[in-house]
Amino acid sequence: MPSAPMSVVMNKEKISRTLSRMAHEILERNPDLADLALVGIRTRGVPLARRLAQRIEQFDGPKVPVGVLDITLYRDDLTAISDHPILRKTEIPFSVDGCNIILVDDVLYTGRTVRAALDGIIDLGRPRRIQLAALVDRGHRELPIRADYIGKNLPTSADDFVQVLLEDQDGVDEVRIGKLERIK
Amino acid sequence: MKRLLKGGRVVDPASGVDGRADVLIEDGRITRVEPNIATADSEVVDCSGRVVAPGFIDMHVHLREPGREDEETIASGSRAATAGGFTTVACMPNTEPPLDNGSIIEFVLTQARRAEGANVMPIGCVTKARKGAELAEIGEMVRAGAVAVSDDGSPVASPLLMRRALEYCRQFGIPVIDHCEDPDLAASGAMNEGQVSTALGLRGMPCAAEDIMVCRDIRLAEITGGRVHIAHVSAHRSVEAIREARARGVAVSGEATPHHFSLTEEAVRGFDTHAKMNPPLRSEEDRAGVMEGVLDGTLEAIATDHAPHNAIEKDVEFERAPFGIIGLEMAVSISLDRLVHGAGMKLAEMIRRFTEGPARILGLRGRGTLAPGSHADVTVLDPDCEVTVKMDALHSLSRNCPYSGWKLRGAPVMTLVGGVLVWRRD
Amino acid sequence: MRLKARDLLGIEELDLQDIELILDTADGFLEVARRPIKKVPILRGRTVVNFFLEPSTRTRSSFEIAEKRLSADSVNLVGSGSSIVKGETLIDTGRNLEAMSPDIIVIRHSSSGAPHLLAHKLRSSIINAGDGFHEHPTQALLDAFTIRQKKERLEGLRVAIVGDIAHSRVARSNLLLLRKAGAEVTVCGPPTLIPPHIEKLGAHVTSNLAEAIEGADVIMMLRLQLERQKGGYFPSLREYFYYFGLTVEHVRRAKPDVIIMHPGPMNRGVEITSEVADGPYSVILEQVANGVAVRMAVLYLLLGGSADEEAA
Repeated sequence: MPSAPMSVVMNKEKISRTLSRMAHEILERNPDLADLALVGIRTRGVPLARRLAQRIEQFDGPKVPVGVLDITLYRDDLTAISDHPILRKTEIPFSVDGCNIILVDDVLYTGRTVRAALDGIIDLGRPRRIQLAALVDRGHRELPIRADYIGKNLPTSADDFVQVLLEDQDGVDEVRIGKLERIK
Repeated sequence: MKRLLKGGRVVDPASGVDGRADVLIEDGRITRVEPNIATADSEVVDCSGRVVAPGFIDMHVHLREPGREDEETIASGSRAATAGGFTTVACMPNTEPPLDNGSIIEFVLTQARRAEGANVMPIGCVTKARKGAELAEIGEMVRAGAVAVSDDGSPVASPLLMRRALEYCRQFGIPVIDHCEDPDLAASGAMNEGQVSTALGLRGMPCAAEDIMVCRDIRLAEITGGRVHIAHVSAHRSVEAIREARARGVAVSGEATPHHFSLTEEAVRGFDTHAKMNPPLRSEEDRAGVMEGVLDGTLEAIATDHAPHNAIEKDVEFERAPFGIIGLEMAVSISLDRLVHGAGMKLAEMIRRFTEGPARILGLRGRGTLAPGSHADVTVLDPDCEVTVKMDALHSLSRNCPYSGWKLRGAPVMTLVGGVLVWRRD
Repeated sequence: MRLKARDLLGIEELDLQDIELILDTADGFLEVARRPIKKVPILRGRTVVNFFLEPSTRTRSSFEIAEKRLSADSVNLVGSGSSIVKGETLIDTGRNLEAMSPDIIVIRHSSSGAPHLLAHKLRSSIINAGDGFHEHPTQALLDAFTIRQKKERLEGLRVAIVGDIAHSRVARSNLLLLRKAGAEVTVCGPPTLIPPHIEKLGAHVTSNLAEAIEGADVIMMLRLQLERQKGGYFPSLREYFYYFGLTVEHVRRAKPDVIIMHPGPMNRGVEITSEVADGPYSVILEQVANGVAVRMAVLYLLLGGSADEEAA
């Protein structure tokens, strides 16, 4: 649990501008938009993927399909956590075969979530290409994984706690950072 | 050799004694029961603060010898008896082979003499090999020392054969002890039929399987003039039938086990095979009915139905487990706790169920009383001490019972058989 | 979130929160069956023993498919091949299985309470796949899942359970679950096949099929064991069908959107007509499909149980 106080590193306006920039980057780097699809990693990757899709459409791009991926079944820490993650539905209403998929997550940290998401996507079919978008990259990777689109690089230490809050779920758009309280 | 039990409260219901007195024992017999006996040459046993009662009689135990000496022997069972406050036990004949002839009755008595524990009174089979087909040689067994007959574990299913047994036993003055259970109605049941059997999905044995046969036996006793004793009464309807018949003067008696007045079918939840016995633990209404029968004397005797079983055989699926629990070393404490402290029964009445009651039913002369001239079988009680039932402290070879850890008020503290102090609580 | 117990012995031991957790989790697993690659890695390296001491085709294969889809290694040990028939006790067989370090033992046994005995003696998690006439919790869970799928709720529904209630673990588990979830349950069958005091478990009782079905949202038909006739519970299959066989005429008395369930295997023409079994209200095949998802949910929720012990 984070101990108070936490400082705000991105506010609503900053998040909005960042997402717009990321949408532009996606448009620039993917000239062939026909088979582009966004897949949000539960839970906060999902509203982020929806917002990116919205912006791509606003910037005269195509209507990009959005899927939802639950990575619970691909986690490598089932016995290391005291509380079981609740399994939620994976909802990908399109075939991933041959798609150009952009995975969307809120925070990129150890890379283990992305590893699980890659396994999850690949079990669903054979995409032509998979890219990764993250609102925050806080470093400390434990796997050889990097993001293609990064909202903000946030240097942190291991005992920092990064929290992304989004209006859809939390009533406010904010990225906060604080110290983890050590459990004695 | 003289021994003086000094300073206790002597409670002997058979002779109407209840008060401070000393008990003098000479050569294995009671010689005097009076206040302040002064003798110079006797060993004095301090009984102050204790209750001195006639030796308790358990008229229904299974000693498993011959055949299942891994579960109990006559020696271990008779020692467990004395450690439970009993000076006499009557053992049931469902051994392997069964006690259905004179020589095997003699074998039991020989083993009992060697054991030097409680007195052992064998009960013979009603029918040859307990098969329910033809009468065993009852006269020969009586000559050898059998005190009653029973096919316990099974009923005498045929009404005609039961009638003959009651008629035939009249000439010996012994009771026929019946395990009342209609074999069709109770077939393949594992517990009482009722709410709990429905919840657990176990086949039930209805109360009616018992009380129907109790009523049958009462009518047969009535028309034959024989004496019938109903073993381990478990259903309140059976108690009512016995009460009504006794009021009419029928020669019927009954016994209650401590488990049937202290536990209900609820104990089976969780599939505890230590709560599996036959007749089964029944509903609260039945438990209360059995207790009422003990309190008002409809059920004259408290008996344990001590039924030792090997742990390997009990540690199985509920339906496969054998029926029966041990009880010799807890019965007196459970009775003091539940009847005297729990239900306000007079101590003298409770003692009567363990002494005068079974002695009358089995026709034991000179036992179940402290009247001068009687055998010097004595049970000394501390009705108020707190005890915890501990499995590793038992003398029985078996451990199958649901009482582990029970905290009870009241316990036997000393047992004398034939004037010899055979057991004393540490 | 996790289940409160380490075993699934019966519905009796679950509270409504546990039941909802299992059903919600099963929802997530339903999607796996629609994938081209019907396998997820979450129980990779875990071992599950399916210990079936009573013949069973569908429950065992349902568990087996669930285990395989979760990437667990599963071993089947069935009645005739096991050492139980050679005189070994259940506990000894259980201990021998445990020596091979399975994470879960799924047991089907003809004796009520057998899974409880194993749970008491072994460290592995035990799943009761049906014990005697006692419980069959995963069947009740998959039935509840199917009802929820069709009706979007359990609370307040009227459910009729029809057939041999006395010898049915499916009836007991369903009754317990539906009552916990706030449904109204009527059990119906010949009085010889209604166990005593079943009303104390919260059921209405009737031997009139029309009355049981009147206004029902759900009708659950039970399999009639044909050997009960020899036990004297009813005189003939013909007569049983006359009073308790489900026909289209009966179904008209229920709600227009009634669903009809059967745990299988069906005796067509004994407890149910083919018209009803294959008719538009029947969800019998959905039950089978949902069974896999529900069993995946149970396996998933019971594993990972070592986490707390390690932390302690």
